[in-house]
Amino acid sequence: MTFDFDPALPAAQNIDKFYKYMESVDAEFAAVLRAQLPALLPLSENTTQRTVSRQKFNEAVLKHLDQPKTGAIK
Amino acid sequence: MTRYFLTSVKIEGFRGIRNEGQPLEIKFMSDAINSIFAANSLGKSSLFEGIAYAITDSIPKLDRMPATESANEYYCNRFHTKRRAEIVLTFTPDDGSSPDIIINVVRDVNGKRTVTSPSGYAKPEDLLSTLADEAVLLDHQTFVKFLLDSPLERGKAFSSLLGLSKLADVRQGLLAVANTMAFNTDSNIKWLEATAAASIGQITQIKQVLRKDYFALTRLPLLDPIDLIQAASNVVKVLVGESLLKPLCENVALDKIDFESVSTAIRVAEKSEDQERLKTIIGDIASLEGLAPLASETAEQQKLQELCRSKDIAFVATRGASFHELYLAVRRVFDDGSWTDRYRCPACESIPATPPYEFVVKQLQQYEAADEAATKFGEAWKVAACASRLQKLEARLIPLAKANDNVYGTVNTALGTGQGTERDLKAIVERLSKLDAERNAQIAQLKAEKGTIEGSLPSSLVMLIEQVEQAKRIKSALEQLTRLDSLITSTNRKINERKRWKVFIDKACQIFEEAEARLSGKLISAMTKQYKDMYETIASGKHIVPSIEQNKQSIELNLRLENFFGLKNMSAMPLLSESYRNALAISIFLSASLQRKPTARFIILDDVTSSFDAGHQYALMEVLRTQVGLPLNKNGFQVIVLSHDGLLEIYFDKLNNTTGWHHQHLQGSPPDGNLMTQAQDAERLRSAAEGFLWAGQSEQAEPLIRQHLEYRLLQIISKVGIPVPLDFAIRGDRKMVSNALDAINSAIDLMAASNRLVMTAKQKADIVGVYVPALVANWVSHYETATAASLDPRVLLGVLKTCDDFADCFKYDCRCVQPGKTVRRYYKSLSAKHCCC
Repeated sequence: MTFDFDPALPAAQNIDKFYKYMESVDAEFAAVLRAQLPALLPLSENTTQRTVSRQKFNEAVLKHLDQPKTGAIK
Repeated sequence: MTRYFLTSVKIEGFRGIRNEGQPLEIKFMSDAINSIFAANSLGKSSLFEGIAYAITDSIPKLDRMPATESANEYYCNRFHTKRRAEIVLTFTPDDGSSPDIIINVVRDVNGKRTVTSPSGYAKPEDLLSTLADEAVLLDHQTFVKFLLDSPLERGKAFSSLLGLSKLADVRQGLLAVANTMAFNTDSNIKWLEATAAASIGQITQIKQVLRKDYFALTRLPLLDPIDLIQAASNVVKVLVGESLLKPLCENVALDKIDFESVSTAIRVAEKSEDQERLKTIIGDIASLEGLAPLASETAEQQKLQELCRSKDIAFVATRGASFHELYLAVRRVFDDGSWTDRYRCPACESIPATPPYEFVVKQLQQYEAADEAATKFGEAWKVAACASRLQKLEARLIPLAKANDNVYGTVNTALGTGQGTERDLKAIVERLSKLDAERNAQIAQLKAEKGTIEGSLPSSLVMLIEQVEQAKRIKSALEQLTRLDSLITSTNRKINERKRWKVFIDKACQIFEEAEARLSGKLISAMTKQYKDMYETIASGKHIVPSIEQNKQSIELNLRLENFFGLKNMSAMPLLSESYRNALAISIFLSASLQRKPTARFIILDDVTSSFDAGHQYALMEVLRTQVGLPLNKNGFQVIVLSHDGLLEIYFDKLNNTTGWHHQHLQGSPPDGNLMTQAQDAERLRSAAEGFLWAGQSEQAEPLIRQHLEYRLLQIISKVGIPVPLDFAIRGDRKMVSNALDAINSAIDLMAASNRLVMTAKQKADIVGVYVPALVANWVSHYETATAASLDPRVLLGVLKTCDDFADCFKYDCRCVQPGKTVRRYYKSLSAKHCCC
């Protein structure tokens, strides 16, 4: 099923809808992605901080990937 | 989703609105176009900025000022004694889901902003932030900026208008973290792969030695996959089979056998120094034989040469370090917004055939490709078995005195960082060949010595020593295999998790991008007809048909003309006049706003018609009334229009209090006096002025008296329908007391001369003989010349009374409008009453 944004919804709700859809692709990673949204948004700016923001995002993701699988998402 | 109307605003002490103790209060109708007129410098922009500041915490005009201008000091009214601004907004839900929400925004003298909700709304800041939509507060500058911006900035603004900017932020974030090269760097995936590959290489070497020793000791082949427990058990079995070793090895696992005790036991049994030497020789031979080349070494060396060549080719395609720095600097000035024209070179300002940004990105890709090739080459060297063999052979065979002759030490750093050359690789092959010859010679020499010693020792003991050495090496090899196996397992798990994440994030990116493109396309196609229709209405004609084109790869937005007086597909900017360009921008903004449902169900337009002539102004107002605003467009907005245009006010006045239109007029004496609407009627002004006068404060009362007089005289003119000159009607600055009195006097004279005057003789006599002379003497001649000092408060109290008495001359006693009561009612005109009373 193709994922589509709803033109009637505000952006925040559409983003939420996207995360929910991604849960059907991979629930574990969708939760990681959702938890890291605040770290994702500064990446839209072309600034010198962009690399730092990206590294911070990936650091948080790797922390999750390397921990033993307990099912809990931090 | 609940959306909100703006139903009232109260402002005190903000920008040009002083209103100390008497806030400017304006009520808006939710299902109407609300027009507000104010003459120039009468606080209209302060009203717009007040609402903008309350909602967005910003006034762009002040934000753009240089720091040296201390913009912070100009938010609060400079004449307000407390230098404190207060803005109170009332929002009404459009679905009636809750009572009105009142939000109070205060800015104190130190610039501190405090937001509270007297109506008890839990998170007033959050509501304001959801209302701060790009399409809510529109002024002339918004449209000019939209038109003059670069296609990229215009595209961003357009994306925001369609409510897509937050989605674009997420998309760009996803793209950044999904970038393969950046992800590989951040996740150390290459290092992990190199670690796993190096461990596999080590295992191959260890197994080669292990198989030889194991077979020599047990006479059994060691097949893959190696059963480590069984292999260790077989080794112990052989050792237990020797009577000398049985007490030390029986029922002991291989890794627990104390080989020191085993050696001591053999030494005690033989007491021979040759035994020690034999042990050493056996170990040396095994060690040197373990450094023999692997069968795959030649293929591995060829692979290294190929990677080295690819790397060299990639580097040749670049233009060296200096150009690399130049390209990076150019990309930086584009990316950080220092240079916005993508078609002009930021260094020489020429316009090359290939846009400089595209050119520089392409050049930098060559450098990235070269770096990637170098990294591949370097990683391959790090895990190459021949590298490890060269290092060990040199450590083993080159005497310390000749340490400078160490090829591995010389080339390793360069090759490991991908900087090595084919010449380095050739030197390594030659070096390995020489070292192998030396290794073979040493093995032969050690084997000869071993034979000699074995000849001098009892054969059983020689064999035993050899078996113990083999067992020790097998023990060590099995331990290493266990450790490496565990390392490879954990490393592979990490690599697999990273790869799984990369697949996920790539997919997330793709799904998001495709959905966003479909949404954007849907919104643009939905608004296309609407903005074209609006433009046609405002610009009055079909000879110009605009179109907007959005670049699929980026969000750049270009304004084009499908048709320009018969010419097809032209650029809009050079051909359209300022007013037509503004009409296009307004059409795009309004139609884009209508496609979405932002939390704010109101839009405020400040002075958006300033470049239009009368015809286009009316056309725009008709678009607002019929297509954009409630109630005619049931899904439309509550529209609030602020204007200083006198011609437009005639139109506003005409529509005032018709269905769907509500008009108000600002008057007063900002920035040091009060600003009020007609609704805040003259009685408030009068009582405030009286308060000052009874306190002996003429100077404070004067602006209020002036407003009161103007209000009263304009009320007479409006109620009785007194004709006025054109400039008085259309220009706010002409609505002075003296001009109003002149108009009234002229009208009375005209009616009296034609014997049609409805007033009583006394009323006419009082006007002509008492009130007009008193107003002229005590107010007009004194204040409108602006040359004299303030009058005595008692005189000014008399002016207020005179003005009210003057107004009363235009009224008559009516007994029919409220049965049983006599009401003073304005004449219908100077020649007629409303009734027969």
